[in-house]
Amino acid sequence: MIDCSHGRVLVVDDDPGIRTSLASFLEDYDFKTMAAQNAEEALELLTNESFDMAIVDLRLPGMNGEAFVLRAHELLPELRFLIYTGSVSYCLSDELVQIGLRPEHVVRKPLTDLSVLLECIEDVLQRKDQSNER
Amino acid sequence: MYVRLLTKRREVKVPVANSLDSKFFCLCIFAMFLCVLVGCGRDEDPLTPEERAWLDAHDRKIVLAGESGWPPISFLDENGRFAGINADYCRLIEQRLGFRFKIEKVGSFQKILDKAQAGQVDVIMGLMPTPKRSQFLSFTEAYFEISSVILTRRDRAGPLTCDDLAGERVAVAEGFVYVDYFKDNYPELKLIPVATTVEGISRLSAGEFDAMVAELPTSSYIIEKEGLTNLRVAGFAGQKVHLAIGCRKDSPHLQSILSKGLALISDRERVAIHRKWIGLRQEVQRPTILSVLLPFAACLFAVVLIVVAWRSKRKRRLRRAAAEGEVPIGKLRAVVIKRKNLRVSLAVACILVLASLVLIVTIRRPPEDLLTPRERAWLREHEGQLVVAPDPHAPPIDFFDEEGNWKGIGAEMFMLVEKKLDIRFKVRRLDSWSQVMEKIRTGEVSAVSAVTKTPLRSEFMVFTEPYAITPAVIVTRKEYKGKLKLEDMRAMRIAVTKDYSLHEYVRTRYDYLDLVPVTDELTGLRMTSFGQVDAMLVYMADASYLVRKDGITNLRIAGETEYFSKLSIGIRNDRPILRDILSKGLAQITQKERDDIYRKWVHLGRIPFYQKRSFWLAASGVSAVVFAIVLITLAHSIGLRRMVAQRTTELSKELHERELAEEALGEANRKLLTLMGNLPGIAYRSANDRDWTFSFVSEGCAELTGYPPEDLIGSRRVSYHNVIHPDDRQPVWDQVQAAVKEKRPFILEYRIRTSSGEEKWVWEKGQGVFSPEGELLALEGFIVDTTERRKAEEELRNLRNYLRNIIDSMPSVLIGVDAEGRVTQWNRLAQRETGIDATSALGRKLEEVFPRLAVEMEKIHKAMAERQTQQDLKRPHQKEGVTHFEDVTVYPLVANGIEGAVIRLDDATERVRIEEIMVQSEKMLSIGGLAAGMAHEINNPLAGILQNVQVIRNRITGDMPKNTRTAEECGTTMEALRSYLERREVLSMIDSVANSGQRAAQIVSNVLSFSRKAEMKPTPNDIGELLDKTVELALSDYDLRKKYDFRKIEIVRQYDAGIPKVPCEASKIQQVFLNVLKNGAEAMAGNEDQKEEPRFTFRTRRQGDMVRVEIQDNGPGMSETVRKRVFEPFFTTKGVTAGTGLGLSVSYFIITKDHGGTMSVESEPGFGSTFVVCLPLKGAEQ
Repeated sequence: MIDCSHGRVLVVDDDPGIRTSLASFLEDYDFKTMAAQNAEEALELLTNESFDMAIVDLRLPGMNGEAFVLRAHELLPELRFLIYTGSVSYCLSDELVQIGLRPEHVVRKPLTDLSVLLECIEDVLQRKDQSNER
Repeated sequence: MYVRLLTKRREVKVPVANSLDSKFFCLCIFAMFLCVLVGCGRDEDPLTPEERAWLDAHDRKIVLAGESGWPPISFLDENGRFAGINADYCRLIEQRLGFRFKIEKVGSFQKILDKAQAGQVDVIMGLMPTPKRSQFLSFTEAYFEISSVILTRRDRAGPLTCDDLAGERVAVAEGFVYVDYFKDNYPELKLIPVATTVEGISRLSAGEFDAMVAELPTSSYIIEKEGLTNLRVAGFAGQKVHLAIGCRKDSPHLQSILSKGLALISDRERVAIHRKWIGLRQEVQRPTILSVLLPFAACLFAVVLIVVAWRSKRKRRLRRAAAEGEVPIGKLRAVVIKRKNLRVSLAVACILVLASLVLIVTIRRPPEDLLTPRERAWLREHEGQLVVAPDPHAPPIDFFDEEGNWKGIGAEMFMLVEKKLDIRFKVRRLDSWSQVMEKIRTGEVSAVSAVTKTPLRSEFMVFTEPYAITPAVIVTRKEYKGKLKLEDMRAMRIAVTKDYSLHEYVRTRYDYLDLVPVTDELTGLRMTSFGQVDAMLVYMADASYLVRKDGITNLRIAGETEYFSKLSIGIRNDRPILRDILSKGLAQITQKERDDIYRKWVHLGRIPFYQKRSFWLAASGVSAVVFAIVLITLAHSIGLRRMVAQRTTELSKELHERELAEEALGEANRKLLTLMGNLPGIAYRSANDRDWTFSFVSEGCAELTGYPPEDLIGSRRVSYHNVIHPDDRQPVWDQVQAAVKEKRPFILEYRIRTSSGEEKWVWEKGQGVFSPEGELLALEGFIVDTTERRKAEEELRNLRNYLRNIIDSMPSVLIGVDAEGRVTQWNRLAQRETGIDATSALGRKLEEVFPRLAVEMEKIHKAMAERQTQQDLKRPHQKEGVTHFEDVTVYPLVANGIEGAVIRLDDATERVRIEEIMVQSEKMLSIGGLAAGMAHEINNPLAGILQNVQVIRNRITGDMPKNTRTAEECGTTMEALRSYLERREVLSMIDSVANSGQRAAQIVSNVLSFSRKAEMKPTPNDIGELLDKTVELALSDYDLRKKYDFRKIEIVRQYDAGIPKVPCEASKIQQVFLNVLKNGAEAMAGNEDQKEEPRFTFRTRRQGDMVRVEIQDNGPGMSETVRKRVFEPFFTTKGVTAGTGLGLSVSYFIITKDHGGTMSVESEPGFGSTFVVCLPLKGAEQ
């Protein structure tokens, strides 16, 4: 198990209750966390700071989550993503699948136990490290 | 030359003697004739171009309603045509204006008014203008004025007024003006409206009312026509009726067109119409009886004379013979005795004749006082104040002779009226007519004896009916040749008597004429004679009288005017009662009295001999005498001849009579043969043998059988036996033999084969002819072709069967009922529904044979009354304990005037069920969609709550270095903080928030399943097994056990054998069953009135390509509203804590959405609930 407590995570969600609590939660587990309330703000952060991954809500004001993921991947091909959505019927689009997202990268709100998310994050970051090592 | 005299509205033409040249008279007549011809030929349109265009466009489209029960004003003649005074006016107007009405015959006047108000009728003739009617009609001038009278039966004596009728039943024709008049003026009358005057008078005669108010002419006409001798006219009703033409107010030109048409009808034509229809015939009858009786008496007398003459002659002869010794004395004596008998019978005859004459004279009823007590009282009150002023200078109508006595027609008429009524007027002699008019205006004079009604005079006078009519003529000197008309007299000075109606008429009509008013007619005529004026307008009667009296010889009649003076008695208009009195007096003057007066003044004894009644009496007497003489002569010569002829006659008589008899017999035979030959069938006489050998057969057999009579008589070429159809031969023989044996007639129907092989049906009636000894001589009878009738019957029967089949094949219950609700039609489904067959249902009351339709009787009557289909949809009714629904439709029968209805009953149970399911699934779908949308929205805030709670928990209970560090920075330790929070139970509160959040998340996730089509992995499952497993689950379920002990519930299983396995997701279906069981158990546990032990009944069976599962409980059941909402999400009858109310809706979606099945519930309060789940089998094959 790789220590990923120094992973850098960007949380993109327009709901402040979710955004801040999620950021706090991750901080408590020693992630370096930043939060953006929309895609535009997130993109700006991405150019200035470096992140390992982004947790993205799909329904965002302005640019939506999916477009943001594609745009961010263009800028930073190394960046990993988790989709965190309240929609029940959401399925990954072909474009997202092409850039490497899988159904297990989609997490549905509400999570009664946030450790599920934690596992997902760790899983994603671990894979990233593995691919980097390769 | 004549004056026309109105004698009680009946007119006679009486020639007038005149001193003017008779050649001129002929010329005048000719000229008048030419005038009329030219007048007729003149084609000047009285209408304006717009009116003409409108009229042409509406030819035959203007609807005129004519009443059918108001003779002689408006009724239908024997050919059903519109007749009477109105019809004649109507025809004249049509002729004058060149168009035709569209005549519509309407029964009663009220109906006409109703139609006019509804705009269905354009024109009504013969109605009185009233303000009420003016709201929708406009009126022409009145063309006819009639009095209204009170009619009663003869058994009621004395004159009557409206005041006498208080509280009595008085009939009036509905819609007539009287109705309102009496309501306003005599509210105490009990008015009974009748449809028509004819009906009213007939019913009055039958004793239904006490009196009737109708018009005088109508009453007398109907009484006479219908022979209602028990009725009489008892008095005037006080209401004069003016008949005008009413037309639709919204029609632009109609009123002015009809007014113009009416104006084009001349006085002469009007008089002719009135004369044609109105007359009191009774008056003529009395002289007729006399004139019949007198000739009869004369004849009787003549016969007596003849007999006497003949007898005396015979006596003479006998006496001579006796003297010569040819006849014995005894015979002579017998003759004398006979003569005595003759004398006696003669005396009796004379007495009889005398007695009948006396009887006729006494039958004349003694005069009764015509006046009502009120009128009589009025007269007494005004005795000595009544003054009559005649025209002083208008002979022969009114004038004063040298001694100052009032003379003339008017004078005598008036005096006669005085005599009849036993009243006395003072006669006042005034100087001129103008003065007469002046005095009556001021009231010094009460009445004028002879005056013509004019509009101007009507302002201050009222008038009786006219009693004489005379035309106004133009008189000039003889040197004026040619014919004159008023419009041609512009350049002439024309004298006219001042203030005469003629004056008023000419002045207003021909204002361009140069009129010279003169004081009296004689003055005017003299002025004309002397050349002071060119012409004089004067009444013909006056002119002829004056010219002759005054010996003026240089005048002639140059032309006629269109004006007729109608002479009435005029009365001051403030005394209408006097008018009624004088009218009655005038009405009492008989024809003969009038004739006498006119003859005296106008006629001067020159009545043509054939117009005198005495002439006819004399003539009939003379002819009777002549006839008697001829008879005497004949009798004499016959007496002589008879003696000679007697012997010869006796000899040849016998021979002759025999010849006659034979001839008559031959003639009768021939007639009989011809008659029989013409019969369409066979008349026959035959022997009673197997061949039915005919001895006689009529010509008709050729047409019926194709064989001429010669072939059949004696069975020469063919026997009738062979003509009969082979199958019918024996039955015919048997029936005839049976009848003959009993000596009764026989009637047969059988088939024959004609010579061409055609089959025909015949009907035969015959009987045996027997000798006095009872021996059968022959058969006689008649055979007629009934093939056509048979065929028609057959077709009718087929048609009836066909229709019956159609009705029977209908998938609805069809029942026909009549107006009383009796069954007239009963189809097969009705039979099946009720178990009563058509034959026993027909004619019975609907509610007896179909009790559940009893509540529909109201609808049935409504349908019949309003002629509109009535519906009662989805009517529930119980059948074998199950609620069924049916649609009831009631169709009224409107054809052929049959009152009745057809009731259609359709079973709507299935439809109602499907509708309910559809509504349910529709509703659930929309709710599902809504819930899903909402769930998504709720997920975000829920996530916020849950995440924050976890973060809070982490930061309190987690042993993260950050927690310890921050606590230290705050001067405390995590342990202290935790112990505080634990002691204050904050942590459990946080857990509780987390719990609530999780429950909410669960609900949302459940709701989301409504819209989400789950990925199903159906496997074949035995439904029974699934049910049993669910019960086990329920028994072990902790939650369930907590609330009710499931083991106490009895389970009855009714599983059909051989039900195939159903493709479904077992866990989901179990979830559904569990939900249903929970629901049922809860219901049974919560039911305090539970009488039976709680019980579930499981049933499974196959239903088409579905498997049907029923889970029935014996709980309290549900009300209709609950039943309809039970599947709705969040709908619950339980307390808040008991559940989310989602169980059944989740179940519903599992069955309907995930498995494509149906889920419903049947329940009624008190009878438990049954949940029905149907799952398709088809999924297995797919």
